[in-house]
Amino acid sequence: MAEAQVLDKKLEGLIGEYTERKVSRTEKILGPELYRILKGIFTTPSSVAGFILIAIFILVAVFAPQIIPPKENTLDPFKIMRDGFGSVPKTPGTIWAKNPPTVPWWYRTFVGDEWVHLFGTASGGWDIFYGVIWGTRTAIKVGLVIEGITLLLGIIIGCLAGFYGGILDTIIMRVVEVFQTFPFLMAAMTLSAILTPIIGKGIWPATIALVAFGWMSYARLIRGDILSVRERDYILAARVVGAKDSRIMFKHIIPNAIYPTLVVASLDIGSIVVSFAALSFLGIGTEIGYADWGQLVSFARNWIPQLANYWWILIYPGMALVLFVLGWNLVGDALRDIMDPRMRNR
Amino acid sequence: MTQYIVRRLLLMPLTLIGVTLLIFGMLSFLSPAERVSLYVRDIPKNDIVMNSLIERYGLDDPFLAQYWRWMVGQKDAETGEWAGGILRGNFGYSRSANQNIVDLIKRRFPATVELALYSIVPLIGVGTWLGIVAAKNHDKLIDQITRLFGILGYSFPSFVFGLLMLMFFYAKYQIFPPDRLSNWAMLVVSGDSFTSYTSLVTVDALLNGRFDIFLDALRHLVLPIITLSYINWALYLRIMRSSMLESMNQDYIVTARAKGVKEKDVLNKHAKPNAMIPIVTMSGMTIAGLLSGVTITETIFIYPGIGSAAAAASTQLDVVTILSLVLLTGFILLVANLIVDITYAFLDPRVRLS
Repeated sequence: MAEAQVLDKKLEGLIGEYTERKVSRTEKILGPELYRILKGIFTTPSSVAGFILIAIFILVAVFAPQIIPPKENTLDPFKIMRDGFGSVPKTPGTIWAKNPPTVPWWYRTFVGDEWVHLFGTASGGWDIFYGVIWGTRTAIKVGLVIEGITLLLGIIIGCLAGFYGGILDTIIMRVVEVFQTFPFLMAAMTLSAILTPIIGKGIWPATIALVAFGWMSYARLIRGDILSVRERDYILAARVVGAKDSRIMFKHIIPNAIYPTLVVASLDIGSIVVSFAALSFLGIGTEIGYADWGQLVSFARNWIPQLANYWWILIYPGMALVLFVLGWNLVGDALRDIMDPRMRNR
Repeated sequence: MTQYIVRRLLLMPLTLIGVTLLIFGMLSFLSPAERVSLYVRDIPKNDIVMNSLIERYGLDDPFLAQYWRWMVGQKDAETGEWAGGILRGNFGYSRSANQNIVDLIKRRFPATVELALYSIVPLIGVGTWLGIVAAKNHDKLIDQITRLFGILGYSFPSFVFGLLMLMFFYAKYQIFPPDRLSNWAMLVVSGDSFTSYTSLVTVDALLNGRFDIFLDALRHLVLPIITLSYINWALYLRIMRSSMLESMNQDYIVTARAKGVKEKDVLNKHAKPNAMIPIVTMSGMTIAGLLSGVTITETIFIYPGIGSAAAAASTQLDVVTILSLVLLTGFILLVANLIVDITYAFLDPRVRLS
């Protein structure tokens, strides 16, 4: 008897859970799926750590001119400031002898009145601290630009394939397959090697190349989601009342299918920054002296046999890259657990 | 099943045509004059010579006509010799490597294969094992530590991790040097008394009875292998972990436990085999990726494979070479993909039925 009562209670609890779950206002606005995703990534400790890392980098990028001001009246603040042209790298803590930047308030408060090379210099007098700080700006700028264009391209192509279906879908998916056949980095290398003589050195050859070989996964992702949304009853209802294709597409299908793609894409920024850094590490892309982490690390390549003595050329920019990517990956890892249907309710 | 394989095989030439079209399409971003200077050794200084060359090789023709000529080649009217034509194996001359591209690939590819062969077990085996360890200890401290270790590795760009390795093991302690062989071993290998059977240095060394060269070659392989493994473990760890957790939740595992099967056997005999299926797919693509040249890793360790050749070519804007290499790697990946899909269909009856 007692057992039956307990069971009854349990059953009641279960039913109650399904019928009376409190739906908060944010959940109403965001919709259950997005709410679940966002709640997940903001409550997992590792992903919160990831967000903190990302936030620090964003702050550094925003306040780069306050942290280490560029040369006055310079045309290009992304050009790393240098201290002479000496070929031997200077140790961290060496006094900045020639043309030091103006001393900002935080430096005066915590370090002193005279600029030293906080992270040392590479050969050629390039100041690594300047490169790392302004490189953060490059990284975030490049990440956002490349990710934005890639995503837009992927969404447009994926929507065309998913919405119209039929022969267009088949053709697009074949094209996707062709593009995915190439190893990503090598294909991007090839295209930037072709584009560099045409549009000149800078961030653009690598940017275009990374976009050209990066859109496919987003196109596939959103196509899949559109295919499933397209079959829902409310789309049929919209058709019945005579809504135009464009209205159905923009008002009904895309808003309901886009979130997974957006979330995945936003977390790819970390890997995009690494790919860009890898290209400039190889010497494809930006001109020498441009503040980006890949290029700073490539300065270390000339000193491989003596790297143990000149460790700072590798360690500081390398650390910036690793921490940046780690931030995105920590969030991404938590996200994948949340979005993986097999891991649900576990 | 047969139908599935036949369909995949029929689609392959289509994809291959697409791949070559895409590569040729990239080439045609360049103007005819720029393309002349890619292929001709003495770049013509005056317009008349330039124009005659453009005319002679039809570089102003419609896109498809040029594509056709690029694929099958062009017969010289006077000498009767075929010029170009990648289907004939005429890829052209590599300026960055100073040799014929076919020779370049013949010389560089074995090195890439060797690195790939030695990387398979540390990369895939250890990664999968880590995934099993994490799944067994789900949500315990070991699980968290393994995952963090994996994510950290995954966050290392290969060039940063590779250089770190070189900093410790080469610059500081001189244990594991870069390159493929030490100088003395290189001299022996290129000498007359050393027969090259397979072009894989480690295998050749053993066949020639030179154990010292075998060890030297291994010493040079250690750092690239560690680098490739560590930065990729997270992928295997994550997949194996979630796939293992999924299969441990299945009814047949409950059944096995209920009928009193030992926990060890439940894991090894019931859960693991099914959880391994996604690993098979992944490893096919990983091996293909390794074979198609690990550009950055090879470049850092000055390892003479096709990846470092491609990197060198692209920094020197040697478009002819890098296009050929990218075509080769695309082909490798395409074939690998096919093999993986077919294996997958064999392993997982659910795929076969649909």
